Amino acid sequence: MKVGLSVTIATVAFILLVVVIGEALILTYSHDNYSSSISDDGQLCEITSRGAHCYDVVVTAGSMDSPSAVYIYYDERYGSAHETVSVAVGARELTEESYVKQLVKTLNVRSITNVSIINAEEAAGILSGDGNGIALISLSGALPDTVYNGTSDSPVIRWIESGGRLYWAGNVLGKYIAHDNGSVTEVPNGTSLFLGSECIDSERTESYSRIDNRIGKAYSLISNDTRYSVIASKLPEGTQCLGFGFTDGLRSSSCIVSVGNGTVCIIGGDYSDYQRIDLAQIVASGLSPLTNIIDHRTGTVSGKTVTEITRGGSVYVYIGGDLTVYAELHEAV
Amino acid sequence: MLFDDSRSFLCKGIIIALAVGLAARFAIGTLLSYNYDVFSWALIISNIEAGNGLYDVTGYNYTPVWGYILGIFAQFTEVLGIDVLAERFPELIFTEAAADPIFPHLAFVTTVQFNIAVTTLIAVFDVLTGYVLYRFVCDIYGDAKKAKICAAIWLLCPFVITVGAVGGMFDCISALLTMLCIMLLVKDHEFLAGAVFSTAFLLKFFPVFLFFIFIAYIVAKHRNGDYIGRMVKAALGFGIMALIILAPQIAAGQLGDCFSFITSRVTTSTTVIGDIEHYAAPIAYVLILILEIFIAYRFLKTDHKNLDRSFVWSSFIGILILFIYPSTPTYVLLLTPFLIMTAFVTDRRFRTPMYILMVGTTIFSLSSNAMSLTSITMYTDLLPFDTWMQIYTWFDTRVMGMTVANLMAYIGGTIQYAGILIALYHAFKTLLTVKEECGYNGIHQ
Repeated sequence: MKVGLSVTIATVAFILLVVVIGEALILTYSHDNYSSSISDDGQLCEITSRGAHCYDVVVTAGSMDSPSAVYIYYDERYGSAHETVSVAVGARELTEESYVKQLVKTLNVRSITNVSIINAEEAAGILSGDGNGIALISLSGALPDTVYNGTSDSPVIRWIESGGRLYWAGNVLGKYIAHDNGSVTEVPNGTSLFLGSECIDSERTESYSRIDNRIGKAYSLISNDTRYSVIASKLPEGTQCLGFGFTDGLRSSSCIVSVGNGTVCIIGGDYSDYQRIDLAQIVASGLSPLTNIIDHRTGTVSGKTVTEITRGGSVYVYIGGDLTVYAELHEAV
Repeated sequence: MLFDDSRSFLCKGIIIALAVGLAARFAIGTLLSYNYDVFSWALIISNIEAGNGLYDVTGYNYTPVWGYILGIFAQFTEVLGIDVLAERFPELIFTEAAADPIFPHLAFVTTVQFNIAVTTLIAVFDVLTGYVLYRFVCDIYGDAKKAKICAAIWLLCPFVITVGAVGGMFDCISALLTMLCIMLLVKDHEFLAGAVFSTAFLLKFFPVFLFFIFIAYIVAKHRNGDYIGRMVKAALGFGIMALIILAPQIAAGQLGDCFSFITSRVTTSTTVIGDIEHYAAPIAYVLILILEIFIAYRFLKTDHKNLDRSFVWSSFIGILILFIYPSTPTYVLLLTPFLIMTAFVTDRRFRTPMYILMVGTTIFSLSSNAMSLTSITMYTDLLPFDTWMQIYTWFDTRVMGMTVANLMAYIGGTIQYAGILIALYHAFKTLLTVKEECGYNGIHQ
């Protein structure tokens, strides 16, 4: 009986210890467990990682620098026009609020820490200034009437043309204006105000093929939902545009278009975790309509490793592949 | 002789069961892996490694205990040099759209190395559960030979192997903790029992239904003594352990997220199975709750020749009742050690439902069809993609209005439920006809 008791208590102690140690270990993980840097001559990339992980180093020409500030518009007083999505049985609901919170964390993993969540009034203040180097993310499917009035003279359009970067997901760009009584109104031909033509619809399509421009694979873009994305062939002639990710033959899962001195990036599809992850990767990597991959190195890092890279472009380093645990954009040397 | 009466756990039969059981687990775990479940562990580990804990971003839907175990497991994957846990394959995206919402598919495929690591983790707990089952039978029934037979059956039980090796599911730990909790109560260690009960509850919800029978046991055993003090000790153990486990979530204001696995099942319904769960599950679980209280009440009011054995019997019935509401194969693991124990130590009538479960639950747990073969298809040369497509197409063939894979799941699920119903029939027959000892009428063989 004595032996039985001690064995029972030893087993209990083992399990409780496993649980408590595991709990403590989780708290020790942070962004600081990883790092990356580029040598002064721009030819070597040093990567460090706690434990074994795969890494990707993508060198590009024509990409943008890291945004100087990232703003996510979210105002529960104002209406929104995104669709409610299904989640797996037992999973948490994917609402706009939870999406925004998760996006902040997903951006933090990619070394974007200057992120603020702004309401309609704050958006009006920020969009009244120069947009150069600033990113605005909207997931509501409808822009508030403080920044969008359904004309080409709207503050948000002027802000983009001044150099702002608008990242859009959730519905057809420009189609809805949100008001502080929770309602939305429809704008006929709203997309044309931003992109010069009605090049976006809300048709549900299936896309199983990667676009053959290396970007989807190189940046581990995983969403294949093309709904609400740009039909590039309908854009006005001469518009600079880069589609990447997956394609249904007409649309791409993500697309970035030049508008004046700024850019509009559409991340296709209804809300999903894949969309959130792609959105964060696109914002953090500085992808632009002119992005061109000049080098892509992959390997495994456990502790520290150094890899040679082609000099001359901006360098996006990420660790963990499709399940990214760290990323950072380094400007061209 | 395969099994003997000696005090040593290791005998010829156990060594064979361990060798065959582990070989089967590793062979199956290497070749078959249901990515929809196993990928979740990879995603959670990557969330942890990214510094996002368990609940900051989507991935972890359970109460925290399994996540903490994955926290330790993440260390092993890093040390073992498993640099890629999973990748999303464009070739498989079509399966996501084609899948029945009841049996979802993913184009994310876990690597073979990661699958083997998960199999190893679950196998460790399977072996530990087998050993604790042996100790349990030894302590409660004093029969070392039968205890070893029970442990061997657990180690070789086909659905225990497939649920752990193919699905990477951790329900064996629920069974392990529930047995430990009962053993600690029997040995009057109420504080530790409370702590273990808390851990079991925060691992997976179901053991919480045994609350009433546990309280009834403490009262019945110490009716003339300090049963209130002992209940306070149990409550303290439960509370302190719950505080330790939930401290990070309380600090981060994420307590609600810990229980989304339960709450989302009764608040949202976005699929057919969601609709069924939305209406049927709350009704079923209220009925189950009433039955649990009835069993505890009856236990309290009955004179017992052997209180401990009667307690184990009542706990078995308490767990069996949970399965009135049809379950997935994984949850059956909570019942399995108790069913084995009852069938092979106290009441041989339960052998038939045990064998039926072995057939039904195993078929059910393997109904993930060709998707279980994606890891070896995408990462090795063992199964060419074209051959995999042929297997996928075959499983996707429609028979009687449903795919072969779904048909297999429904057949497996039906057989599994038949096993549960037969066990329930025997249990209630005993419960309602045997007046003494709350249905326990001695060791039959």
